[in-house]
Amino acid sequence: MIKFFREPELKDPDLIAAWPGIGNIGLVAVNSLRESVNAEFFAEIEPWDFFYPRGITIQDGVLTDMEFPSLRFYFKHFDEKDIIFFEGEEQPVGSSRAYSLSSLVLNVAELYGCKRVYTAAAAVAPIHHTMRPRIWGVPNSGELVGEVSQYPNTVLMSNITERGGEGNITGLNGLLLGLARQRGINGICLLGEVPVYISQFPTLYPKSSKSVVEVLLYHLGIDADMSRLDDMVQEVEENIEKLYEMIPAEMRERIEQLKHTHYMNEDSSGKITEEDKKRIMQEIDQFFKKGKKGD
Amino acid sequence: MNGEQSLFEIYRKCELQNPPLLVGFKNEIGGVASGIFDFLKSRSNMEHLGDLKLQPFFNFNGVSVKDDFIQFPECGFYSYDEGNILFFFGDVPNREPYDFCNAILDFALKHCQTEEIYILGGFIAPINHLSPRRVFGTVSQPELRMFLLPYDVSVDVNYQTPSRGTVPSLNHFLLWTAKQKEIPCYSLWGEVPFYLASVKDPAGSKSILEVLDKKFELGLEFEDIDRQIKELNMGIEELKSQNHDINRYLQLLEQGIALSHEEGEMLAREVAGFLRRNRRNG
Repeated sequence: MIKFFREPELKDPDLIAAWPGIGNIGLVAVNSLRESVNAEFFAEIEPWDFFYPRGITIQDGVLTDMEFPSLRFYFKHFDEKDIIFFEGEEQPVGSSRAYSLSSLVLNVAELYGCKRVYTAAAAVAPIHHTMRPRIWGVPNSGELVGEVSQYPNTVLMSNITERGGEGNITGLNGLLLGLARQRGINGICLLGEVPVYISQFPTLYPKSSKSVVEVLLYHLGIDADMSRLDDMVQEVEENIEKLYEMIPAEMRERIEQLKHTHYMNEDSSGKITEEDKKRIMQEIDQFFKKGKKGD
Repeated sequence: MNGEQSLFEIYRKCELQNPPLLVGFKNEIGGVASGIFDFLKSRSNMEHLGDLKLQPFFNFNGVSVKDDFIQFPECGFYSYDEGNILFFFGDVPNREPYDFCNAILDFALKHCQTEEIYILGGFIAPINHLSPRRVFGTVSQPELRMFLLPYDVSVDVNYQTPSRGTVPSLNHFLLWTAKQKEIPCYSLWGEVPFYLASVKDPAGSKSILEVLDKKFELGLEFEDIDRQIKELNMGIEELKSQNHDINRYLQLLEQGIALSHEEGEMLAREVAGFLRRNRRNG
């Protein structure tokens, strides 16, 4: 059930939705943008159908509150078009719940006449953490491929070596766009690159979130003060550097090769293959497993 | 998530008059709710009025085995005619907990015209098994606190789940669901010594039974449960005589001295193991 706290009048809004995932790329991007433009909360999906509660408050013997992961909508007016933001604090478990939740999100999108839906998530990629993460743009309709290819710092799946335009988008970021197409709503998933070895760390990767925000700002044609996100990028970069220094020199040397990652139609000398990517991931995984055992 | 389809089976008409609903779940702390259900069942021919359907709430990839036999979920509604009480007793579901809580309430409200709910359970306390057991109460609305005070139920509970703390129990989820529906609801918690949490603690069950006895004027006699308490206490005395460390730990607890984490774990493990072996050996 959707609970409306306000009923704003919106002009041709786009919906930008995000949930947690690898490195929380989408959620950090959408949350940072939403806070930076001071979007206003107006509705929420009641979460108890989707999640088990995660906390309670009892005061003087009275159960006063039960805390669930939130599923909230915000809006912001802009000159050209308005924006609805949706942020989910968790992804539900099970495909029928995911389907139901996506449908509810789209009900709100349809209610306000949304013409476009954006989701954002992580693309685990054979890149080095010193590189600027690119965006893999995946539209839910062939008509949008041309548009996406014009976005800054964005590649299509077919530009990615050895993928041949194919891949998967797991969880709600993909499902929401599939259901949107069924309802005749255009949608694009923005996948921010996360270095293969970083995807193994329990850390945020705001550098990739920043790339997502840059594409959204381009599309929306607005400016926003993203200095807080920049600060977060710097802080996490410093932590990653410290972690990187702990990796044995031999492995670091292998990871350094990722600086030569290229996409189709680029100079591909010394490129990293899918095999290289798999091998590096396995080696990193083994390295951290060994570290945890203390040997 | 299950829409409007019925989530329960009704076997018999409910003849009770606006009965309170007592709710207990299996495998709870100290088996407190199981102990209460078993005790009331032993005093009366409890009529089986209906069941919640299992398929929407449990995974059936196979069955578990416990105490050497196959376990299968149950979720039944029973009438305790002598006290005009409706009792729900069952397993904690694997999925759809919100629908599960709603289904319990729907059965009681629609089929039996229940007007108030009592959820029964145990909570772990750093006490000795010979200590008097307190009962704590949590309620859905502030005005309900006064209805527990005459029965020595402590209602001055203040608690907030710490970050990364354990998730709330189904008892709390049900209390919250009842609160959403504005149904008067009480959650009663009997103290259970931490080292009896994984076994049956009849004294924990008795502490709540005494509250129910007075509240609903049930006229219960407690010889059977007193005998179970005595047997458990004797068992622990036997263990104390065999195991110097256990003896020392229990003495420390008696003196109100806290045990270290390792000592507490060892005490719980040894006591539970000893009591299980005793039960198996008859």
